[in-house]
Amino acid sequence: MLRFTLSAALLLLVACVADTGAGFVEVPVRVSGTELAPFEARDGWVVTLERADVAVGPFYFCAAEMAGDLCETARGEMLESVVIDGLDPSAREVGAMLGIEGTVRSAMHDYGLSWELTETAPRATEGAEALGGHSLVLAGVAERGEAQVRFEAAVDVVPNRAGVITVRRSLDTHELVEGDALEVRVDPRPWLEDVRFDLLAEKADEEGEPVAFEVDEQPWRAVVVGMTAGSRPELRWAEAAR
Amino acid sequence: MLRGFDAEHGQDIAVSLMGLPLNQPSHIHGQGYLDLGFLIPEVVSSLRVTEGVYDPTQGDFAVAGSVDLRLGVARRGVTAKVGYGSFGTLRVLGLWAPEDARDETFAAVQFRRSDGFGQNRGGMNGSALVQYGFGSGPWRYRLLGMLHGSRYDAAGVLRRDDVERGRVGFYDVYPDATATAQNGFAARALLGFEATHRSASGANGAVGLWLGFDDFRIQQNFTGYTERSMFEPDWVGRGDLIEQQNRTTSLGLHARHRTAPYRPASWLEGTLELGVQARLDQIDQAQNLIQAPQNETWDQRVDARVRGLDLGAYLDLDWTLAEVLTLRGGVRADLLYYDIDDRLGNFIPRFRRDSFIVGFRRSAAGVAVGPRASAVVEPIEGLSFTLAYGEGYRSPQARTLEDGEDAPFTKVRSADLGARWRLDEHLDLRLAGYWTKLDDDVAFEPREGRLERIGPSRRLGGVLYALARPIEGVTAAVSVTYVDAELLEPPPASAEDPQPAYDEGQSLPYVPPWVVRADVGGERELVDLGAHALRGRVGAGYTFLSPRPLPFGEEAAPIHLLDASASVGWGPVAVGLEIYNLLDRRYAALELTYPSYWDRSAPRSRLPHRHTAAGAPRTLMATLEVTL
Repeated sequence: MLRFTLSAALLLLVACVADTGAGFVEVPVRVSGTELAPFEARDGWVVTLERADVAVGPFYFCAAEMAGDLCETARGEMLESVVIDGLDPSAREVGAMLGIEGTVRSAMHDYGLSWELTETAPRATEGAEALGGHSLVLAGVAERGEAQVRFEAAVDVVPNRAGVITVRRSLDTHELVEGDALEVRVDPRPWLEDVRFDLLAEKADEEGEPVAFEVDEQPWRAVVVGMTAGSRPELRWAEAAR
Repeated sequence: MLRGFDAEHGQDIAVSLMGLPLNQPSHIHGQGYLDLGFLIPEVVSSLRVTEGVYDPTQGDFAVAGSVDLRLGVARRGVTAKVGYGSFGTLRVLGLWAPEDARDETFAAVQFRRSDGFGQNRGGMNGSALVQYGFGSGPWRYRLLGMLHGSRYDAAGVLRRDDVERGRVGFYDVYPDATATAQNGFAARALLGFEATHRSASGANGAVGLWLGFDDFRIQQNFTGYTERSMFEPDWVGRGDLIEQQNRTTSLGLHARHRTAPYRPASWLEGTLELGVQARLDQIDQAQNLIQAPQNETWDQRVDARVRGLDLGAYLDLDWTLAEVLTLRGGVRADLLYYDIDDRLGNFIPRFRRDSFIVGFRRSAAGVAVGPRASAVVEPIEGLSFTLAYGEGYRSPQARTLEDGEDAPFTKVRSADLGARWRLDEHLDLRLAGYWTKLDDDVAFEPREGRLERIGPSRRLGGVLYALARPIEGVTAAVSVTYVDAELLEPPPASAEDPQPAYDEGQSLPYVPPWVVRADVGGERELVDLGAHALRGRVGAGYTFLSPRPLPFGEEAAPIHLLDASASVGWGPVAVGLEIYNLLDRRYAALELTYPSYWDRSAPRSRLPHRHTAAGAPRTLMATLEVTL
């Protein structure tokens, strides 16, 4: 009885604990691609994509205006990388982001290939592993007049040094709260718009075998630039009712 | 923990040994760093605890209050004591207290070693304390010497999710070399001399001189593998093993004089005291990142020499009116001077072209003045009421000062309202409410492994203390402290720290709102065995800490601990058993929340995570003591 009384008293005392500041939240993450009709690249080729699977993640969301060195402590993160079918516009829930309530102003993420401080080279996370160790796997056909070239690509987007996250970007300011959701949408079209398909056509054989993007050649570089500096995945918050 | 102040690193409680200050100013590990590992409990005769900052003699670091350790040995003779217990712990004590000398004269030496609980917690330390009192008549002299050395391994902290997933055991250490290389080392010497004078009129005074040397070195890794070298940015991932070094050489003096009681009227009596306390410190400090196990330095963060001078003077009035009202008050002023040679100041990053030589030498000075006043009314015998207000200070970490800056002392304002009821020798009850405001509090920052400023804070609370001796030989005491501790204005978000860990108005991190300590002990003669009686002694103590707020809205689990002891003694021989954490409760002695990266097989998390350092499990210690 004495023990119960003591415990009850202590429980009452503990109930007086005051405000401890912002708390942790769990935010569902939904991904989608884009319904893509054939489109015209800058050099006049009309491109029809048949496959555009991209590995995205891990994601970090930051309070700083610019992610990077100032994001040693993140506001939110999803450490898994996932594969997004860039041609499927339907939203698919792939997991949850864990975060702390508060302002998000920027974000950073990899394309499935990460280079931790403790490693001597980048490595594939689960998303990239599902794509054979690559960030992006593409396949399609480009046509101009009578000419036609089938192409395929397995692109690696790697951080340029250990500890660096590939894509760092500012976002519209958002107050992260419980009940929010994160929507990640990719659109592969801009990644291919600057590809010079003439160069691929020069390599095409008469059997119509797909031409592969070679590392560091223009088509490959155009895609990497498009993914990192051009059209990066759209990150949008579906806000909870406030 | 005192009045909502966490004294783990000593920054908020001024501790002295027979009047010699023990806190370390501008210490690399934490301002006011305090290590009491040198203490030999058998020679501590009493603790003089002054809560709050109402006494003009209280100087630097007296924020929550101050404690003066008094040394003396009442049981004269030669004592040998051996203790052995859990985790291969061995303690040996030798104590000599000459029978023809006063209690204050003794020489004691102790040695202790242990494998420590769990993994990587072994260590050993030794200390010697010698005090010699001499002189007779109005002048008395005292010479005090202390030598101490210790070295221990440390398990550091573990991520709670790693413990929950079974990746590492609660009492273990991470198997990485950068974790198993955690350890600490300390060596300290202190020499003090004091002459006291007491005249027949009641006037009294003292003058003292002391010399101190302290060597501190620690290796700790809180964050795993997150750091990048400032000197060579491509040096990364070598383990965030922080090495801190601090060497302080100090010279101090103090003098005071209290007048004979002055009686201008039959109902009025009082004295006046004037005092001065001064110290000069030379502090060499460094902080590096090192790579275990060869301890190769892969980054330098601090390399500095600080010379500091603290000159404090006070006036203390102590007056009694009609034996009912006692007024005590005065004022204290401290001047602090700093000369800083920051050898890594104006650091030039590798990507920038040199246009000067790295270094930032500077000096700064400041003054802290604060009134102290208290009134005690005793309307009837045994019942008294106290009202007090005082302003104290904590000196700044010198390296944070700019050239010519008016040294920004941390000002503490404190007020108390209390009552005490003493019912003869059987019951002593005290109840006090207190308010304390600091204009710059500090909290532990794991990335740097040291205390950092977190802005002004306010504590409002109360203390209930009861001491009872219901029957002869039995003593019981309970202390209950409540504090509402609020962080008033944490540093705002900035470019360098866009996501501060603290919110305005939140509870102060690491401060439990409730602290309870209860003790009961008994001693009696068991049986008469001829030349000596067999005496028995038992005791138990209970400690409760309520959940502690952590950064980022987290909260540490409450702590309940029960300790017990028992001993029997026959003449010169005594045997005893002490049990700490009798119920073998698993608890975290330290809980922190911050980002870390320990599991190198997974992507790095940048979210704050809970980290714990295990508290000791049930620990037994058996002792044998012989006094001749």
